[in-house]
Amino acid sequence: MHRFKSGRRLQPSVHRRQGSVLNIPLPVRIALAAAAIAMMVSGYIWGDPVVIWQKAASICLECIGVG
Amino acid sequence: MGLPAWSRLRIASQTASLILGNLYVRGWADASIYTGRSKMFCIPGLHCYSCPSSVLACPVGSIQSIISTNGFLGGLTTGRSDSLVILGVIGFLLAIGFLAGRIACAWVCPFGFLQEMLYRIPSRKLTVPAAWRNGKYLVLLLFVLVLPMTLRMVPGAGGDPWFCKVICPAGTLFAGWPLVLIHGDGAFQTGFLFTWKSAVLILILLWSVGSKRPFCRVLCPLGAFWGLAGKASVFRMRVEDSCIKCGKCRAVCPVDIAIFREEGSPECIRCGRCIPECPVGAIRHTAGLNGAGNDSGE
Amino acid sequence: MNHRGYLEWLWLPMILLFLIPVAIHVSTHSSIESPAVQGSLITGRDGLDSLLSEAAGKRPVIVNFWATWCTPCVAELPHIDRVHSSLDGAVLAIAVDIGDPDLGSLLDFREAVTLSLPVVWLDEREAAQLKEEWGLPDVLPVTVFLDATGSESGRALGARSEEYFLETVRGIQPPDTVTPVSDSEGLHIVVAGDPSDSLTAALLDAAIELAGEEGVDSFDPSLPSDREELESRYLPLEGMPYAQPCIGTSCGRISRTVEDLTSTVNALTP
Repeated sequence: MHRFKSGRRLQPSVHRRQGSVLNIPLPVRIALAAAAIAMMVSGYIWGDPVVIWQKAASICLECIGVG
Repeated sequence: MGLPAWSRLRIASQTASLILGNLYVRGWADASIYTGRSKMFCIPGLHCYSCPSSVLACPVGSIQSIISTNGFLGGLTTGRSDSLVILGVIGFLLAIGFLAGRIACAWVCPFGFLQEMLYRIPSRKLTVPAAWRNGKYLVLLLFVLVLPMTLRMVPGAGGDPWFCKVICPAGTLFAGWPLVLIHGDGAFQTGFLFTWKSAVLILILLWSVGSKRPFCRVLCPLGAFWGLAGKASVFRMRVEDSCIKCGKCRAVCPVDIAIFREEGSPECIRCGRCIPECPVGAIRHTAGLNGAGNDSGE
Repeated sequence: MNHRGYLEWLWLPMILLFLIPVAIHVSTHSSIESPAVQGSLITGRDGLDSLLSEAAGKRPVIVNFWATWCTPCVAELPHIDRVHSSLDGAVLAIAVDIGDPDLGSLLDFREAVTLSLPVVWLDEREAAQLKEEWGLPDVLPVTVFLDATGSESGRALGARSEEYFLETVRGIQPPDTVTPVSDSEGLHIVVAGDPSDSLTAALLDAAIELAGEEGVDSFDPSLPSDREELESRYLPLEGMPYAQPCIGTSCGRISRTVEDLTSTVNALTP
């Protein structure tokens, strides 16, 4: 790779950094987020959020390592 | 403080989240917990719902609680409402993950906040081997999903929240210790698990002084989940070609990654600390809205 | 290089290390044999109140608050059940489910687990009411101990062992007097029935012989005042005639024949 006197380098390729990047197009990403929101809403509507509340509103002692 | 504006904003956000998630201050006075309806909703972070002041539920605890009920899988297929509610919690986490990955780790999670504060304590600093980051996926798989769903100690009963029982330091620090200390002895019978978890907590707190966010990187199942979802998130980091690989971004990164080497990393918590640090301005956030962040075009 | 290699892989045994407390915890919380016959299931606050009032003045009560999803609760229930059945009615144990808004989960539970002690189910509203009235903390399980007079003698937050229950129950001292009956520490027999009935007369004779004239109280169910008195002493209003012998706060079974009465009194007197 060519190095200038200032120390900066010419960057020939864009692909060398894509190791951990998933090439997912933006519309797909947005669709995934929308689907997740729909899942969340339907989960709260079809499901019984009281189930979450009931566990959260009563100390289950084992959960905190007591008793 | 000398921190960039973005970082000061983040500390404000973390503080605000800590306060807003813990409005039931009275709980500390009489060793009770909040029982209001807000606990149907989860905090986007690791904070025990048995913390006296907590007004929200913990998503990790909620997941374990729901999937450990008897007949959970069958209930999903038959449409039982106490099984279907898992979609609400998972959907909530996925929504955050697909929108902005591990952003809540940086901007909301109280336990992450604590680790960052502890790291500021002057000490010898240690790096964490990169491979250790795999640990949190195993924690998620084994202690949050498989064991609660399968292991039964008592016939007829459901499963147990094993992450909460043997690992979670947030539960010990914000719920276990306060409730035992405030309520006094005799009422709560502390046993082996309490001792074990206390030891785990102390080790993690000490480790947090010497290493950056060790729990987040090595053990947190929530971080694991969001990290994976974050690989497909809308809001993420971008490193331009002008990067000179000087490594200054890594020096200030709260999770110790060199973003130019791991741009789509499941470790990145979207804190933005690296942005002002880059000498050539090669790093930026993107939500892909201005077109420049569109991967398919490159 | 080798040294660094080992360090990299340390995460795996580190995570697996957490299986140790899992194994320890599981092995120290093994389940026990279940009884043969399922106890009664009562729903509603009235049911609980009537169970408690039946026992008040006669025997100590272990009131255990639990829920089907609370594992330590379910783990200790068989132990409480054993205390209940082994002491042969000397102590009443009640399992009050205040954490299952859906009765179905309790019914499912009962298909899998047999308990001989009575189980009371309260819906959300009544559970919340009860929690407030009794000042129960938001904790499960909670066990409230009532002594033989019906007043609270202690509480336990969290699961306990069978030994703990036995010791606590033995430690509950019966008072010197039985309220509201009389302050006699000796044998006292209540006979309830129609005075013109020959069986009632026979029971009455036998009672007087066993406890003396002073030690017998008789009640005529046709008299409203007598019915009221029976009610206030938490005695049943049907199945007459019957006789109930008590020594202090230890009461024997309700007896409906002279033979039964005699053997019950013999069992009572040490």
